[in-house]
Amino acid sequence: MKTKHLIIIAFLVLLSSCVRIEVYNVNDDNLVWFADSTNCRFTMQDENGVSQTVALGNVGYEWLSGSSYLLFVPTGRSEHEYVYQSGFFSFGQQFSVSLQAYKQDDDCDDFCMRIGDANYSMRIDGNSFHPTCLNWDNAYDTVFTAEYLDNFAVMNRVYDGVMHLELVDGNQNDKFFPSEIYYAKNYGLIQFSLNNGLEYKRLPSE
Amino acid sequence: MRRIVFPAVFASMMLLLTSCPGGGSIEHIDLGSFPEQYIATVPYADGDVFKMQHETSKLIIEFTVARNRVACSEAGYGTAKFSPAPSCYYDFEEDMTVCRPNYPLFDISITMSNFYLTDSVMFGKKAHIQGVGHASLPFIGEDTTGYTISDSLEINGKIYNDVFKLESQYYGDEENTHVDKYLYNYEKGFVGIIMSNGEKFYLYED
Repeated sequence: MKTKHLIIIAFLVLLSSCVRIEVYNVNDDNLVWFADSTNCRFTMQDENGVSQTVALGNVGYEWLSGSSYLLFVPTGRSEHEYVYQSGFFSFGQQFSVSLQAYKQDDDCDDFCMRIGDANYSMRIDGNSFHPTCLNWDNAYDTVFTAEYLDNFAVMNRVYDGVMHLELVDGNQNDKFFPSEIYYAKNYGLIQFSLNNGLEYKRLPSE
Repeated sequence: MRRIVFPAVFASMMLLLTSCPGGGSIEHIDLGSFPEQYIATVPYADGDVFKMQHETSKLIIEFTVARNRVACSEAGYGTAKFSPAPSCYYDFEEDMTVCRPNYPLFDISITMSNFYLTDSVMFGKKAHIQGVGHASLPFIGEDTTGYTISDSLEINGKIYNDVFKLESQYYGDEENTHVDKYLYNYEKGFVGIIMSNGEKFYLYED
């Protein structure tokens, strides 16, 4: 009996010593979708001339860990790189973007943009977007289309490399729900509109 | 012997602890209802609607008022201000007014409380206004020393008397858009909101 126990313990020790660690890095090419430190504070003005500041923090990096187990013994561990940038509109709305590494040897990352109550989540590979309808934080279901535009002009300024997101099915009853977003490489948010049609544009920095 | 001594010492320690001052039930001091004489500091009733107009675009924003009284309890520390344990609890009433816009602006709340009238807090006989930045307003009939008051102010062709120009305190980054001043009188409530970026909203009466 004692020998049996010893064999089991030895087996478990052996298993735990074989924990495989997999590290998933964010694709560097996707980092262009964060605002540069010089573009972290900007002003969005609606079509009635009401304006507010958006203040973002610098880009932050973290590692998210996950483990797999066999008979309560850890057999594998994964470390996913998580890159984020968040801040607030001066009237209180939250704004954030994040990238989480998806797979090893894969250029795709999970991208999530949160603006107010809306979450726009997709798998992203450079200029190619695949909406995933992930719905974190129990926010509203957001079904949307995503396209890449070579450039887009806002307030007489042309931005190169723009993500265009358009709501297909979301919280239609909320007239302030963000329904269309233009988001530029290295700059971040440049234009968005709400369910009620109200449009916000980024003022060119001085 | 040990089997008797240890429980006996433990039990006497517990007895000693519970007999310490402050270890018993903490006194609740009932401050009663919020004094009627100060209710008129805020001229809004629950369900009221007032309009503010954006100075440049002439956009009219409707604010709907929700006003109610809430029973509250707050720890008091008496003279031992740095004590971690409260010496008593104050039971009091809060008169809460929230003005909610029908436009993606920001809520403005006014809180009045008879807790502020106790010696244990420093606020004194003032209402507290919170928008993007906060300000204090003396209760009606109380000392107005130190406040800037305009005898009369013309807004949208109407004259408003005894208008407080309440400086807003904003603890965020000064560069973020926030309220610079609230213009207020006891008869109409808010007659103007002046933002840090120069935008102005004035009371609009049909």
